[in-house]
Amino acid sequence: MKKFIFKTIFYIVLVLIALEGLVRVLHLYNDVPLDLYIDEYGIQKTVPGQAGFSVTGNRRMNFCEFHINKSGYNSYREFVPTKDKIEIALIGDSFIEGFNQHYYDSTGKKIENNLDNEVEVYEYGRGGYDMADQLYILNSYKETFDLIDHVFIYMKFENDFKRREIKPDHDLVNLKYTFKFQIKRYIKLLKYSNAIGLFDVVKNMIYRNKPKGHQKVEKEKVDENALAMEYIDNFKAVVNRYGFNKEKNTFLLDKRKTSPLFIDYCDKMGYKYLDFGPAFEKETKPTILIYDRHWNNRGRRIIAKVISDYVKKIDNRL
Amino acid sequence: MVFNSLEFFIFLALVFFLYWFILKKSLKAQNILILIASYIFYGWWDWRFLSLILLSTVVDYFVGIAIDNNTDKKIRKRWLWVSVIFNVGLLGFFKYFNFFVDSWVDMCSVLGYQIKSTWTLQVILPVGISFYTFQTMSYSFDIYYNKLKPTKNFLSFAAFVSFFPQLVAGPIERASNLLSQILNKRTFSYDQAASGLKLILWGLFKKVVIADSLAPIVDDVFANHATYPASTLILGVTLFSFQVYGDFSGYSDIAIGTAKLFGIELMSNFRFPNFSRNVAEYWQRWHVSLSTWFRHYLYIPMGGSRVSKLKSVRNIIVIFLVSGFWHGANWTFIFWGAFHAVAFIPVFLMGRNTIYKNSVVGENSIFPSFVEIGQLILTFGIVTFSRIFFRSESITGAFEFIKRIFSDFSYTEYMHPQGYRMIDYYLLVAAFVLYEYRMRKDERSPFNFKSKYVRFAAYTIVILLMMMFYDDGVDRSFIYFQF
Repeated sequence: MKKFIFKTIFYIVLVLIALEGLVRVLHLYNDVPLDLYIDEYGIQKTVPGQAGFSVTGNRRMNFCEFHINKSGYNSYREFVPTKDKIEIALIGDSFIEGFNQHYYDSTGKKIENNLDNEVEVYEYGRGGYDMADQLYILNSYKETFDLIDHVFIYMKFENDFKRREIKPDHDLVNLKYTFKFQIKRYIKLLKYSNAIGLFDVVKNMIYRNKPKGHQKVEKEKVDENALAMEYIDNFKAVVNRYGFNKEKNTFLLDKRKTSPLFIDYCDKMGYKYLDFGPAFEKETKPTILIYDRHWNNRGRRIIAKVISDYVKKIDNRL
Repeated sequence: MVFNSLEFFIFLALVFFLYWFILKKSLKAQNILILIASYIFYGWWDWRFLSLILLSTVVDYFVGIAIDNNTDKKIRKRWLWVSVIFNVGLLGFFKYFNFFVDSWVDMCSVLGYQIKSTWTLQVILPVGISFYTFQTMSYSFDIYYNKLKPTKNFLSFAAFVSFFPQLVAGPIERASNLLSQILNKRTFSYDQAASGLKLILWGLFKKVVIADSLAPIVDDVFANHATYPASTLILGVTLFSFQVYGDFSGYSDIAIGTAKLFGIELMSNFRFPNFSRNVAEYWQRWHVSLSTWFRHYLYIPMGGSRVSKLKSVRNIIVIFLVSGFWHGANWTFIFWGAFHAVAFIPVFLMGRNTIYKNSVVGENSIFPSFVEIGQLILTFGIVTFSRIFFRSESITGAFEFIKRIFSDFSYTEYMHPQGYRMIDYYLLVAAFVLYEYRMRKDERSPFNFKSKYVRFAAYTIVILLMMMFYDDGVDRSFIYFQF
């Protein structure tokens, strides 16, 4: 009996070590999320110089290289705007951050290619950024953005207008010092197991017999117009606080998924927007990835074309 | 509680610890533990239906004694009928009542009489009822045929009926095998326990990697068969063959492995049915505990093959129809059984139904001969075709599926419903077939490598594959639970 217990434990340990090796060799684990920091303006960014691979799915269904530039964003180029060049900035959340694409084949790179490399595209993307973050960045780095010719703010109405101001999230940044984070950083098997949902089995077991208070309560029906008005109100507050350059900034949005009230408000107040919805609607093949909801290569190509065509139209230097 | 859940493994470790460390000196205490553990295991799903198991246990316990106490054949038979009527009655009520009512209403409607179906009941099918009722009946049959003496130890008998590793989906054990082990002192054997763990690992692999990963593809093909060409339908039903095999044989492996941890040997339930050279051999390898049950308690008492050819054919038809009906209260299963009868009868009439009984494909060589390969493909094709009935929701759905196979010959590349790479699954199935071919002579030794390093590599790869094909979005229940 002792032999059985001992050998079982021994084999389990050996198998775990072997699995750790295999997960590393096959690179099944995801290198993100990475170390974060909060800069002198209180903006949450990714520590520069980090590189690796973003992995989605149990069997590496999506496998993409990333590279964090000196500005703290995932991009193949450094952000050095000058008066002489034409620069375009894309600001947004994970769709602009683009961990699900090779960093050298991003939306920004595709725009540069479309415009015969006569422009430089800077992608200020970070998962979780909302309108407050985006306008705060534009305000904080005013000198930089003054040198950039066109700014596109990618927005999703249902997500991006929930705050009226930003507060640096030190808890998120400090996560890297926690034991759990450190363990996951060094033991790739744990990272992989977590990513494929193995730990959910434990969580589900724990919560299965808990009272209903622990379960998600069905969302109450909301008045969409009232919610849209509240979001517009938040937007007004953010604009009042951080400012907005109506000449240079353009919202990049999908009109099909944006409240008509907000569209009306933009039209009335002179906020420019570029609707990529019709271009997506025309496409018969999938425009998003299978394993998450981000744009796939085709989707990024469409976005890049919409932006390139627009810039060509409004900038007579091109 | 299901085998592929974390709850089960915590439960298993706890019961194992109590069984071998705390209660190892007392057989009675160990059997009580098995009984309590089995009732917890079953009650985890729905404690109300424990009463049915208890009832079936009590009835057959006393029926067994009553049969043995009487020498008069008529009275013995009467008591046997008590067991049969009670157990089949349970099954009939919970599993077939609605089927009979609906079939009656449908028949009346065909004859022009419109009857409202107000008699159907909202009953849940108790998990494992088809298995434990057959197991308890086999006890009464064996006593009736003087193959077994009844036990006076009620607790042990109750443990035999409800033994948790095989309670809900078999193997359907005979008392002569399982009860005798429960009644006798078990001693811990390292080799037996280690072999049990290996079987559990292999069973989990078959369930998680083969069955669960193919399930979304099969579900998609069968749900949308009207829109797919023949090539996709053939792919879907072929993968279903592997799914149902991985699911059910995986369950059996885990059951046999778990029982080994408690010093108990269960009968083999699957002996590589995909390597059968004719339909008769297939039935000697697929769900062995059920096919031998029907053979011993239905086919042979009806005369088996020792009667005229015509009567033997009749017996075969009856066996397959009953076997189909055992699987579920749906005409699809009856058609499935009938199809197998039609496939079996020519083999029987040619006298080839037992020629492969004691051999395996490639018996004396590494590779099968060309003839054998042809036989394997033909048998697999017949069996797989029959599964269209087995898997379809209705008989009309099954015929539509078949009609489309023979009417739409176009080929289009099949795309996984979740967009995954299909090549992963093709390679997986091919590797699985080759691996099983390698181990075809011993279904109980899935990691039969001489080198301990190769063995270790095999464990690691199997676990890694389980992780690589694990999908928390898939319904992980076992297919045979519904029977």
